[in-house]
Amino acid sequence: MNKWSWTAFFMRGVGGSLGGQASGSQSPSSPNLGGVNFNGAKVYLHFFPVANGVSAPYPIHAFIEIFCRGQLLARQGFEGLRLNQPDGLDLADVFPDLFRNPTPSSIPASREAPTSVYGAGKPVTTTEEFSRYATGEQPSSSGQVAERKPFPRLLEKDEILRTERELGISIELATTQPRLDLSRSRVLVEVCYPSHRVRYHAARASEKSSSHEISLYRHDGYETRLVEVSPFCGEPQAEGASALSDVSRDVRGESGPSTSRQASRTLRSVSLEKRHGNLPSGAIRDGEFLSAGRLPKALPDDDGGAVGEGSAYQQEQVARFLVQYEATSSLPVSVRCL
Amino acid sequence: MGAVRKQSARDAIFSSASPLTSRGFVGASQVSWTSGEHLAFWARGDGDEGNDDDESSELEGLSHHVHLWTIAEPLERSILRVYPTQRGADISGYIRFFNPRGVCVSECTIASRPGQLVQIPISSFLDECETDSGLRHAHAELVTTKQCSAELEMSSRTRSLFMPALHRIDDREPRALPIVLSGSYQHVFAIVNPNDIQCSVKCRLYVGSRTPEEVCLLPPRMTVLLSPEVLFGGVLRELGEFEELQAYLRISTRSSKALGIQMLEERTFGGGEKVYGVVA
Repeated sequence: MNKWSWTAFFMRGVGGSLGGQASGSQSPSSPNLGGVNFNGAKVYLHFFPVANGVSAPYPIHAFIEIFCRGQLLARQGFEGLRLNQPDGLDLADVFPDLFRNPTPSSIPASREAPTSVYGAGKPVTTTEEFSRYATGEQPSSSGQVAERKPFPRLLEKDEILRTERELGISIELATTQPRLDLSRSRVLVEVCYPSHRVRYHAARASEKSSSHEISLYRHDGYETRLVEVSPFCGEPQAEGASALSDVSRDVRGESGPSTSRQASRTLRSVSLEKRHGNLPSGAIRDGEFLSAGRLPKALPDDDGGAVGEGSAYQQEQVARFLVQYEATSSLPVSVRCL
Repeated sequence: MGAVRKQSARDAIFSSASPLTSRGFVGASQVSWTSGEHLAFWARGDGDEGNDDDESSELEGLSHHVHLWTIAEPLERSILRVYPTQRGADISGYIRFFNPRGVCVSECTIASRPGQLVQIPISSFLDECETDSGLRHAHAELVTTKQCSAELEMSSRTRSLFMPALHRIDDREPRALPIVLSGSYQHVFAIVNPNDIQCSVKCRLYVGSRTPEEVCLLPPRMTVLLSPEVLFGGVLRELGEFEELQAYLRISTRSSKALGIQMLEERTFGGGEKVYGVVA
């Protein structure tokens, strides 16, 4: 089965790893647009599989993994997508436990069929197909499929869901048609808040970043965060594995030996205000003239250097997004793939 | 091009914006894309008129082009930001604004020190653009000697949004964007033809099991606004009463020359507040 990968992330709501500054309430300056809990953000994935010069509606398979801190939180496979036909789904239907407060009864990962779909078509869950795909194993004669890697321990997953606001997504589109090239397909993430929607394209796994985050960074009243998502890379990486693992260990706050597996399925969110300092307009630091306007020049990385030029974290597998959060509501208003 | 408005330095926030000799329309031949998503590319054959910094181009004889859709009304504030894609790079080039009929109505040069961005409030650049479907808008072409990117920050009374460069479509890359059909949502798709030849686009709505389709002609250099609620109004009325429906608008073309599209979503709340959305 030929497959193409995209990487993205989503914000489940305010709070969590932002540092406790967010709450479910709105600021007085923010209008009450529905008066609901912002933690109830909905996340939709939209797919548009296309192949150059092919108009037949060949079936397309989709595989989704949700991960964070090196842990696979949930995964699901679907069929029902068709070439050249847009379709989508609501992640809350597919992974309901990711979108509610974790309780003992909700912690086991859902392996059931989604209760509904969001969009024009109706993708059908194919857990077995996905499992075979993910493990690379053939089903046994009895039809049972071996699980390659169990879901994380309940307590750890509960902790991740309780503390992490942003979770990584790995999306793969696959086809059994050997000549189809799905590289020009699009995957779009839509985060729907009661007040507004944020839509952005997921990053193709093979595309390199074209912009450096410092180029876009400015002091303008938004909290700007750099989100780096490292999806599951499959086999141990030949290059950069050690550095990536170090970053992963930093994120996890752990010590001890690391493995290349730890380097994958991580999501790192860095506040650029903290990284580059909260400098006033036209400020001068370290003898450098920073800006006649608002843009400071890049300063040496001071929190691990994982994002600096030449860092292993800028390897091809890492998708980088610049996110701007509204100061008053702590909600994202913009996501840009770098 | 007698109507071209030459921007004076005091009109722009950034002090290095300055008047520019009027130029013709795009006409540049694409050499390579610099974005997998947007209408941004290195080109040959344009940017060689009056551009004093040609010798400093990263690639000999090439200029970098970014196409954007810019809106001044009904939003309260629109600021165009141009930034280098490489750390510490400077910006040198110009911006041209074209009204929906493809006539260049204003232009200015831009320049920045290394590592800085350029910010330009665009309202005054669009003074000579007519209001079209309630929007005063223009197609902007950014031409620089080094690779740059740009985005438009648009602010309503409620919140701001950031609109990137136009999404690219051509005969190999159709697009489908999600829309929410509801009484409180309105959508406008801007389709920009930056080429000197007429193109056509095929717009197909996917709603439920229905897939109505319309073909729209795009004259050379023009910007066309399409509203799926208007374009497919007959089909939507046949659907009867509904509160909210998820749909997709698929836009494709047989043109090998790239076109640009962007979607502006307007959501109106009960109190009359409006919130806008785009696709990044």
